[in-house]
Amino acid sequence: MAETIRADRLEIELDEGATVRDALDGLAQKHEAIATMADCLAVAVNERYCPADTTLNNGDTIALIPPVSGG
Amino acid sequence: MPAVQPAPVIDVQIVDHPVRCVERARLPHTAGGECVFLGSTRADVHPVYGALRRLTYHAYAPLAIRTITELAEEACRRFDCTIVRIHHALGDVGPGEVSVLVETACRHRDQAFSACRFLIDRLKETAPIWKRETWADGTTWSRGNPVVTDEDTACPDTSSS
Repeated sequence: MAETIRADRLEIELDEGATVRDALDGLAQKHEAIATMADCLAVAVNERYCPADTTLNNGDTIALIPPVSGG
Repeated sequence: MPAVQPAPVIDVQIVDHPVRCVERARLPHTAGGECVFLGSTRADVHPVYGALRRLTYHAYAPLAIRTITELAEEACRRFDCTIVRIHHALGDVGPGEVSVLVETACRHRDQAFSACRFLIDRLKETAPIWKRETWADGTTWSRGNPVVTDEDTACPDTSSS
């Protein structure tokens, strides 16, 4: 996904009280690769997996986690 | 009178080379069973790109360490482990080389087997680690599994490149 977008870090501005879902929707509108993968992405906020309804705070780091293949 | 159970030893490492088989852990005397699982690169042939040359592992390391450590702590609670050791490779891992080591020591063998199986299965489901496959004539991303969430997921096939 990062290869397709050609960036491993993106910034997004959100309204106060925005959630993980809002961030994901906003990024998906700008990047087709994220929209394509959105249904199978997990999200971590500040290095913890979080559900989509998690409220975000100013300066949070959100990581989009595509399907994993460790081991 | 049963022996006092020492605090479990947890050793989680993400290393930037193939995993080296470490010296057998010095077991607390309360451990009666020990399991070691080694995951290695399997020699394989892609129908289009030919023979596998290597796997290259990438990770979101801070979350990977946290996720694997929390799995180790859960294993200690559920299976009464005295030792949990998990080492995972990053970078190139060639055929026959080891990408992951999971070692568990418990009071009894059933617990050790169960803990080891639990850890490698959950690591593969949740740790933010990815592997790229380099074949003789091309590369692909291993398709992988969505991290387990509350929602069912259906992923597009983005594995080839």
